[in-house]
Amino acid sequence: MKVFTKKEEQILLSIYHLQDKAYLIPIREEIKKYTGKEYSVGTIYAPLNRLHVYGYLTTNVEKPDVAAGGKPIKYYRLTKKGYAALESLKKQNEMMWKGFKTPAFED
Amino acid sequence: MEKDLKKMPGLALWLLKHVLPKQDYIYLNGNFEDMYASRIHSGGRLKARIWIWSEIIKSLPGFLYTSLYWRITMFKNYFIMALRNIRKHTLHSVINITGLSIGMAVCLLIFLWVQNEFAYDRFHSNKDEISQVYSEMLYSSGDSQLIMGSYYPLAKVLKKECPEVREAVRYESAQGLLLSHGEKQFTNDAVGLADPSFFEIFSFPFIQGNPATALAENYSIVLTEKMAKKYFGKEDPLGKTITLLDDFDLLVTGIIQDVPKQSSFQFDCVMPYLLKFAPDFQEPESWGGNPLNTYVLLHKNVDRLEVEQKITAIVDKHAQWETVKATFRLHPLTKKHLYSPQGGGLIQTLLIFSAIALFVLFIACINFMNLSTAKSATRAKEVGVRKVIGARKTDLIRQFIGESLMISLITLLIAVVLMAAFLPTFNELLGKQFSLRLLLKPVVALGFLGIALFTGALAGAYPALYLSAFQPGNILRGSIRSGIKSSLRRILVIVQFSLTIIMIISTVVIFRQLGFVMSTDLGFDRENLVVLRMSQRMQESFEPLGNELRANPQVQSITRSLQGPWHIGSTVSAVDWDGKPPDETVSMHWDYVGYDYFATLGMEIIEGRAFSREYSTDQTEAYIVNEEAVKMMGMESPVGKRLSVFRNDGQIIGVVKNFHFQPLYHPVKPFVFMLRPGSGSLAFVRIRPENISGTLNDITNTMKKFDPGSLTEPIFFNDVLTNYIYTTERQAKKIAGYFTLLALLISSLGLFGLAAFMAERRTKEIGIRKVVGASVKDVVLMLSKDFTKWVLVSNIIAWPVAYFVMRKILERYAYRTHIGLEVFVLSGLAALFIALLTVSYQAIKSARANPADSLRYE
Repeated sequence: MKVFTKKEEQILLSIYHLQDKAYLIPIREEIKKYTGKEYSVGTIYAPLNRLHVYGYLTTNVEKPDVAAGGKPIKYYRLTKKGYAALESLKKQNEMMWKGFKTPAFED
Repeated sequence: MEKDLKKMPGLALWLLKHVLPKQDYIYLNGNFEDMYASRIHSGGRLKARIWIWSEIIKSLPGFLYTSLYWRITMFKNYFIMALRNIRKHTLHSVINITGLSIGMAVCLLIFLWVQNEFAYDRFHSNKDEISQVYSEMLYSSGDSQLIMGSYYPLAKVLKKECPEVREAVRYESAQGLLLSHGEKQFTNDAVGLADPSFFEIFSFPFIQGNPATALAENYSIVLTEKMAKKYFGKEDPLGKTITLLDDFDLLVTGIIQDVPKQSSFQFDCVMPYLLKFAPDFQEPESWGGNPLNTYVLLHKNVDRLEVEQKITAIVDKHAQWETVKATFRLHPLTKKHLYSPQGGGLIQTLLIFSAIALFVLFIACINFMNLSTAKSATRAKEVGVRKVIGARKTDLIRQFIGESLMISLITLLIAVVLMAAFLPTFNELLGKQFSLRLLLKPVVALGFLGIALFTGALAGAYPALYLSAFQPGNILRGSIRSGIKSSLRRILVIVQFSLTIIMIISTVVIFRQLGFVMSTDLGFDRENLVVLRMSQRMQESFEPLGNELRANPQVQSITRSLQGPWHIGSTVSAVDWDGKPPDETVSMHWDYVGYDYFATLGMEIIEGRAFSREYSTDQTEAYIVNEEAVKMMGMESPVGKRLSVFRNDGQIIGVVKNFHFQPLYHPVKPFVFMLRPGSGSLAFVRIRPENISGTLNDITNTMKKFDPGSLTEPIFFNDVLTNYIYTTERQAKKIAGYFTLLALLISSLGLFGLAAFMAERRTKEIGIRKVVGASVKDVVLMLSKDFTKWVLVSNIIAWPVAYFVMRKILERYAYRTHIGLEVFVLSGLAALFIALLTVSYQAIKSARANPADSLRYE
């Protein structure tokens, strides 16, 4: 199983949460919402594109009415492989977090 | 209006366009625009702008990574395909890489040379403002002459009266002067004599001393580091003295770094110019031609042409020459090494050799183009598949150009190795010391890389366009049967062979002309004639030296002269004879010679007598002229007639047969000899043809006796000619010879490859022909016919061009060899013969193949 970077994990999860509204800007907002960190477009695009190339994501281009000023948008969606990846990530995390508790400090 | 406001800044748009990964450009750009618009809404334009720029800068690494990622992936693929192709077509690749690496090695060598010559005199910080002043003399006969030698008062007058001139300096070089410090005495230092401003005009970095005042004292000297070590060892030389000619003590006032090799000035030490007139320092005021040069430092941005006119006017006012009209000109220092004011110069040689090197490379590139397009049938399928998958034409062009660039980079490595192997030979030819360390110089490294990329682009452009234009439908259906007949390929082969034939003919012309130059009758006997360049000490004791040499039974006679009869450039226009038209201005070349001059050189006196010890007046009032001078003066019986040279009356005592005192570029001109047995730094020794090396040894030993420090080697007259006068010709002969052979080799290689390819494509045809009764001879003829035709056409194209080139080569000679049609025919036949030899190997091989093998599977 491939080991994902933290950023990749965050992107995959954001796409999962956004469902069919996942494209670059909302993904960015989503990550910011959970972690408070605002990544630049390029910093998100690189792993996003990589995940797509390796088949964890599919894309779907929506072409709105260009004459009305709309822009084509590329939506990302999790593939079966993407879900499998999230699944195993979750398992790994749960295994590693199992029984975690902050001990009481005496100060 | 609102829409415009929401538009992103133009520069940002442009930047995004270039950094965003292509496949997602529209979406990402859209995203940026949306976010920018919403920032404008919430925070205003300024905030949005700041935001967009910080965003772009932060995003760059990510985008670049993604774009490059794809390029690297594709490059990997191209790389693998290229390697596979190189391996698959071994013969093809070997021919290409051999040819290209030879061609490139040739270019690299020439490039090394060219960049070296172009770097001369570039180290002076005032290099663009320094010029040498020279003059053009116009005589009433219509002749004109360029005189690089200058006049004693010129520098001073120019500095005083010409406002554009910031500084002016006189410079003269001297050899063989005796310099000593205590026990250490040498005569082999190159001495420069220059005015005090020398070190302010030219940048020779000082290690010790002050450049501004170093030459201010009349008895001073500036040494190079090397010379300081030689005389003073580890002592501090500053403030010590060096003795000149046992007479003058010169105070060492400065130490400079050794003069760079790439400098037109070469000296070991510099002394004040005035030292020439020691001890009373009375400068001559005359405006006569002298062996010094004058250089001026101009103010920035002045018009040279205007300065030239001013100088001409100023000199005209001072010199008041009656008989000649002089025009003054400036020769920029940066051009001094490459361009000769007479026209031509080293630059011509460089241009010619660069052109030849490029020809050789071009011939190799033609091989590459021909073989690549010939083999295109095998690549066609790849092109078809790539196109079907979605490769655009530009992708394919990029792929094929990339492939040829890769081959050219591989070739570069081989070429550098080849170049390293030939570097010693090349150095010897040119008398240079290039080392591989030069590769570390950025100019050289970049130049080499540039040559490789140029080669790749040149060789790869056509095949790339050709291959990428295939229609996938046609290829995959199998209807492209490319590669057998291609008119462009035919043209390229013809061009290739035309170039080769032109090179062969030109080389033959150069060989013949140099042979002619070396064998033509110069009017004196140049075999077994030894030249000695005498140092000051040897000159002073010439009488005893000559007597001792004459005592040697192997020495026939000895004499001396001021100038060597390989190039006597000095002229005198102050000549007068009875019956000279008053308004006629003429010039005669002249030389001071010693006794026995004509006997030693083997010149023929056709009237009168030679200089003789029996007539004491010979030293002051006797002249010997050549036939050309007699003709110019229009005398019937010249012997005994009055002649005045340098305003000194005397009479003609003899007429010498015309002889060549200049290289054969120039016609023989009027000449007058004067007897000065006490002057002249050149000695000529006529030796017997037996035991030559022993005699040379004796001569060297005798010279050592009179001047222990002497490094002078006796040198043969003929070697002076080849080494110093006809250097270009000698180099051209060797280099052109080698390069022509290489060009021939590369063209033959290409032809060999093409023939192999043709034979392969026609295997079945040959099989069938043999089955129905063709003999081996028929098949060989059939296969060679095309190539023969091409080479014959090449001859027809090459001959007129070669004729033109030949005319250009021979143009500079006043005396030239005759080149007949036979040279052309023989060169053409040689090319044809070699072409047929190459082709017939393949032709015979395929003609002798058993038809059963080629037709078995039909």
